[in-house]
Amino acid sequence: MSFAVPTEHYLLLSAVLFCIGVAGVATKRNPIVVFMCIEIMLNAANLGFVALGRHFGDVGGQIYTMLIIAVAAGEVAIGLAIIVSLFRTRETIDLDEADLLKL
Amino acid sequence: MGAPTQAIRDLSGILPILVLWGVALVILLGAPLLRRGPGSRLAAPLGGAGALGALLVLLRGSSDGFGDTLFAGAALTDTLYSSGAFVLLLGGFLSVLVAQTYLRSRDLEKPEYYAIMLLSLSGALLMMQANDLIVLFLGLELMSFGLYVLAGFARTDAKSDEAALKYFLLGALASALMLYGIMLTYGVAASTELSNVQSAVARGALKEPMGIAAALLLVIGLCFKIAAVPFHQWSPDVYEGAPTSATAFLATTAKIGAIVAFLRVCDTIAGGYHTWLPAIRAIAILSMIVGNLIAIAQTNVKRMLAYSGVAHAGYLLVAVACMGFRLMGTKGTQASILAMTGAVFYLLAYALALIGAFGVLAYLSSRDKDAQTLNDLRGLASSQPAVGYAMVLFMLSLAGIPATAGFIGKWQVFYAVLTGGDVALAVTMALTSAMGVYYYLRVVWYIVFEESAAPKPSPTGHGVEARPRAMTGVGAAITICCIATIGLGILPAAISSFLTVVR
Amino acid sequence: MRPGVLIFWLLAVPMVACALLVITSRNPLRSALFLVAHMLLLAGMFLSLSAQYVAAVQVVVYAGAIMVLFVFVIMLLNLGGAQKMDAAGLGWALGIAMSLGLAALFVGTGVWKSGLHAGKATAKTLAQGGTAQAVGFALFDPELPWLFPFEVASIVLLMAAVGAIVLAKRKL
Repeated sequence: MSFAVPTEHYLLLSAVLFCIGVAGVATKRNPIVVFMCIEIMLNAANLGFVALGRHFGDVGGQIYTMLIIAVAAGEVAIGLAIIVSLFRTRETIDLDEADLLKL
Repeated sequence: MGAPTQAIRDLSGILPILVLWGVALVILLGAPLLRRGPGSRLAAPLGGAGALGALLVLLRGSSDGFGDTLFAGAALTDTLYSSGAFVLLLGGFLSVLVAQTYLRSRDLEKPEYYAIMLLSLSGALLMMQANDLIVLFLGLELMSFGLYVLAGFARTDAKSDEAALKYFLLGALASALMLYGIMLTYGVAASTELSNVQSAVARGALKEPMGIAAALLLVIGLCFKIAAVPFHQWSPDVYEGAPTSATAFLATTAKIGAIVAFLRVCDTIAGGYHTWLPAIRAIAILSMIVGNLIAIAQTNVKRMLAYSGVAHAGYLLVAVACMGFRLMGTKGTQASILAMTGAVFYLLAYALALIGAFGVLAYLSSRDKDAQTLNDLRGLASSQPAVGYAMVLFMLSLAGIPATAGFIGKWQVFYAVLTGGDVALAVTMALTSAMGVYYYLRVVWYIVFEESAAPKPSPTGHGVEARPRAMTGVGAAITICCIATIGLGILPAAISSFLTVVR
Repeated sequence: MRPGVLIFWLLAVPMVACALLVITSRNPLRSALFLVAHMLLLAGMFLSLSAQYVAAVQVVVYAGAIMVLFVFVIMLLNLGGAQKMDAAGLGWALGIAMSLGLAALFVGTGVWKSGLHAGKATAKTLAQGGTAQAVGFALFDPELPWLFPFEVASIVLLMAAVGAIVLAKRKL
């Protein structure tokens, strides 16, 4: 069956958002913002899953999305807890100043 | 088949996971009692009982249902899972032993540590049992969350916090990449179940750009977890910064879970090996060379073990590469089976030696001092011979010297890749192993031939503090690792019934 | 143009714009707010894909809980103001180059379209597709493979809760 907006459009949008997320992870220095860019990447994958679910007539696409949202929620909790813990000890969370562990 | 019978079969297939979850919940519910006072002695034994219980349940389970899928295709049980689970749970139990002593001596002990360890182990088990890429992803995340938390467990130590942050950010990035790969796999195969993916690959899915991108993203995500080059940057910092018992745990658990998952994924996409086999071979060769090279320059034992872990990831990737030979003829198929058994044995030897080595470091640590550098190991053979020679044995096993379990593991992988006909990988493996012997022997030199830096006890007994605290946990772990490393080095067949993988 | 196509472009362009603003803002709080907007637009996109339940979950959980947590932590750590320049010079250029390269690779080689398995959607599946009832029936059906992952997800959340408390609570 053909849709008004073909699935490929959604997948292209997903790819563009994914690359924006990668750009953010590569360039930002604040770990919270880096984490937000990772969330953009996860959302891009979610968009892909739902679009593909519609394409295949499969509810699975949407169920995967919900599972991923749940996992992402857990990940955010742990990630922000780590950042808070680091901030308490160091009073700064600047990634470039996280230099205690050297190469 | 009636619904209740099917449900019972499904649940008994994941019984080890259920045991781990159950004991973890008991620890969490009982945490107020286990935190202080007389109950605090119970937390570690509970944790150990959880790991051991899961192991026993695994061994008692029958192999009747092997090959069938559980929960309508979400999970499965087979020999690869049972062998990998054996190694994982044994490593988990030994890690609990190490953690018990180390956490006490550094005043870090909390019952939640053990609960998180058990939940993390269950995540790794799930990775090995997954029949669906989404279940694989869930297991990966479950395992990883625990490892991130354990790496940052020493909350007031800035190094530990930084280690957790680095591990977390790069781990989350790798998970996102892998998830995108799973999404693309869903696109080419209309399903994420492994058997459907395999049929899609057989129909040529990996010749399309979407399929190629999917396979490569899956590979990259898993390569991060095992710290293969160029995704290894987090490894030395995390190994160094995390509390020693957490390092031991995360080094072994992540590798075991990820490698077994890798073996399964590559087995599934073996049909399109032209796409991903060159990438795996390149990553393997890079990891073997870079890991060994940089390890030579390290004076911090934990960082050295991290870089050597990168090299070991390379050797294990050689076994993963063999999965791509499956469709290259009878020799190739044989190679892929040998590689699975070899990889599992290698992981066992690696886990024993690594937990033993970190156990020795934990043994030497106290509240103010975390034993980490070569200097801390000086002259150990004369000041504490039992522990010193144990460390020597673990270094020899990691180097792959004959008569140790490490040699047998390496030999099995080497033989598998030779059977498959990939001479380049075999030669690189042999040459880099020889290169690696240098830094392992350097540790042995420091232990045996250098003078101890600790002051000799004066006649009045005020020089060196006595060590009255119980060393039971880590001592037992080191002893078990020693015996197993030598025993399996001489008699590998003793354990082969648990570790053989057949199709 | 057909209404479906119009809605797609009306949602897609602001989504990309918000994502770009997230990564170019100097102020982490602004980045977080742009991300909230991005996620709300994504929920709209889910609605246009007939995934009503997922759209609701996206708004309630992702935009409503996860992003709120982000904003909480940003304010807790007092990062509400403008920050120093991010990875300046070579690091920044390298990062941008790498992601542009990745984007070119993805878009150019047609990762997003070639290889897509033929769809089996019908008008019927589309009509009942994303309601809570349809999702619920599929999720809890023992004949389908999604019950087990669902239960595992609950353990993942338990692990996350315990982990967060262990790391962030002041006195444990």
